Amino acid sequence: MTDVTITVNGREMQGSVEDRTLLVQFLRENLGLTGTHVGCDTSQCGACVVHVDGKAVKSCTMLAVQASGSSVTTIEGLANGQELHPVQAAFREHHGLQCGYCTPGMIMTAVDMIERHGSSLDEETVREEPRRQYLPLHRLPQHRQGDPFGGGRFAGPGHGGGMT
Amino acid sequence: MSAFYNVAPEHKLRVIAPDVGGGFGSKIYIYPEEIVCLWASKRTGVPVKWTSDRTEAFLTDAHGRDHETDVELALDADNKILGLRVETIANLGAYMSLFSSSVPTYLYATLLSGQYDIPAIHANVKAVYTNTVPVDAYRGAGRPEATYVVERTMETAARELGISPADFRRKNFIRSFPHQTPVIMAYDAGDFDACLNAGMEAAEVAGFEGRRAEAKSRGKLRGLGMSCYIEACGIAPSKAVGSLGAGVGLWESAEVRVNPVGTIEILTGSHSHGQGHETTFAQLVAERFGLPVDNVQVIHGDTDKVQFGMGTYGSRSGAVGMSAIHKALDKVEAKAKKIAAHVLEADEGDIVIENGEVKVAGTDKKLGWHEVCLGAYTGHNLPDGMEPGLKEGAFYDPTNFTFPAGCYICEVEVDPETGTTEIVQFVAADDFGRVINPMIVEGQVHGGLAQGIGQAILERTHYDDSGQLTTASYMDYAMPRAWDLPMFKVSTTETLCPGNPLGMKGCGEAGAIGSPPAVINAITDAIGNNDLTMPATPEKVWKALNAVR
Ligand code: FES
Repeated sequence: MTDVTITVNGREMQGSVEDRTLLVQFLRENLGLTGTHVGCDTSQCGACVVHVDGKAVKSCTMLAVQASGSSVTTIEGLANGQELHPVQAAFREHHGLQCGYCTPGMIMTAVDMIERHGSSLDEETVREEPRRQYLPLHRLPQHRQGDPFGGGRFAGPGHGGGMT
Repeated sequence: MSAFYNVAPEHKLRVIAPDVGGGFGSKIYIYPEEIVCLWASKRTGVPVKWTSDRTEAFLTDAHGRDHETDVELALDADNKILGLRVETIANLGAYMSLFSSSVPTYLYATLLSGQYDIPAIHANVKAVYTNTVPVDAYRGAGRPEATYVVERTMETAARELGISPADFRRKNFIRSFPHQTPVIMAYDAGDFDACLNAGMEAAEVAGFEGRRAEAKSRGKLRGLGMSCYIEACGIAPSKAVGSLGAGVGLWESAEVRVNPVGTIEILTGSHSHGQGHETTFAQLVAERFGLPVDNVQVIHGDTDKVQFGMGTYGSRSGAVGMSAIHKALDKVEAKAKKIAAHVLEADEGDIVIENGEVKVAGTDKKLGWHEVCLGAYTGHNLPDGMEPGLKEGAFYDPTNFTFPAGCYICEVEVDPETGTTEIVQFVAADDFGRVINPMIVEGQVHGGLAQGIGQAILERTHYDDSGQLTTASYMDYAMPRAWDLPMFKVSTTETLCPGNPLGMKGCGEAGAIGSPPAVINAITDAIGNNDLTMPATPEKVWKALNAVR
């Protein structure tokens, strides 16, 4: 067993884990943060995406011990109290989900894309980037078309500019 | 579970199914694991939970489709269809699953008339047990298989006759309703020309040859394929399914509980697992009385709260589930009007309910909705003999299936060097009857199209010679992703369904039903070889292309 210390959604969390414990298992089973889902077990689906030190990472593909000392944001850490993150609000507004199982991963991926690309994020990148990252936007959710992430609604402070 | 598996007496069994993830058919059935959990829990005295990993799910969740079919079409000299003969072998897998035998029979052969006036149809379906995972209902269940047979045949016949596929379909469309097909179904309403015209316009079919020539100049083979589907959902009249041997009736139940403050709880047997019932059902109620949508709560998925329900599948939540709610709302409205008429000393027939107010038409006499509701519960001033309270229930048993229909048009570009297909345009023009929430309907179509396109070009279940499932993870089983799909062009036309009070037909399966033949018709058009099976992988397309080059 190895001791890990990970800052999760702004709070320092400690645990003792087997070396083989995946980050997603640590989040779900040790911390009870079950908003991050496992969809495939083989690093294909992206349902498990969280942010590690500000970067989107598939938490089924990283060991908890690797994340020790890092700062992790999960879907539970996105909203500001009762106020949804703009991307969460846009998914809700545009019914950008169906059953919701993989939606946490899609939202974490979308937030990451918006934060990295800022106002230069265009439709082409939204469609093509998951291919390079091998992340899914598959058939469970239904993408609102033309305006996949709700158009210029992300220009709030702290969310990396807007999308036009 | 109580009746069939004897796990506990019915009044002591409570099933709670909150957010369960997507359904798509595969969660309808009772799986052995569920029964084993109950048994193990009883045996050990502790709660037992079952988690499948993805590979276990591939190995145990029911699979879909898997037919092999021979089809013959007879035409007269004027290209009118005289008859259709179909021979199908349907795989049921290694064990009988809940619906597995009814999918390739009652849900398949009954739709072989498609949108066409066909005087004679003969279908011989042989269902076979094999050593695969059980095959059962999967988004569309039998209707995609029937549509594939009919629409591939229509396109093939038109090509062999050298006439336009659209004209050939038009020539044979059913145009008068009700229409009794030779395969049990009696279509109640539709306008197939309207869907075809809307589809062709959106797909800019007139300009296709120009686009084909332009693609050729880039070394690409462009093809256009069409599919005019009809399906039967809103499942199903209890008498009809009873006569076919079903052990249950397929009505739906609803309870409308109006609270003393005027908020409303809807208890429905139509479970919501991603279909958005919480929104659509609440809209129906809120619009009826002019209340804010947040004042309505939809409760489902708990047998201690909702007495009975037959569930969500076969696009029955709107046509059947909401019709039950509608019936219960009729009763609530009638009672609320009686109370208001009594309090306002008016005639019951003059009372209208709108914008959250209960008014005497043509006067300024009115009560707030909440005042009527409170009055129902205080009971201080009710008409003589009226029971206090404002809570009504209803069961609704449909009189017929509903028949959504549409026209899907797919345009592809095939790379002749690699056999890779790109879907460059996909048009869906559907008739779902009355639409309550267009955004949810559009979403359902998107998801269905993605599934149908996945089936047509990507998804394949494969067993090796020793019976090992070799596609048991997403590393080996290809799912459609964003870049596999174009932006869809989706629209609806409307003929109201006469069979239910809301005129709704249902939209949950249509996308998956109508799209596979449109895709394959487009690819075969592009490569000039009609001999192609699903999934049309690059390897198969490349081989088919080179077989005729
Ligand atoms: S669970 Fe599928 S990528 Fe992590």
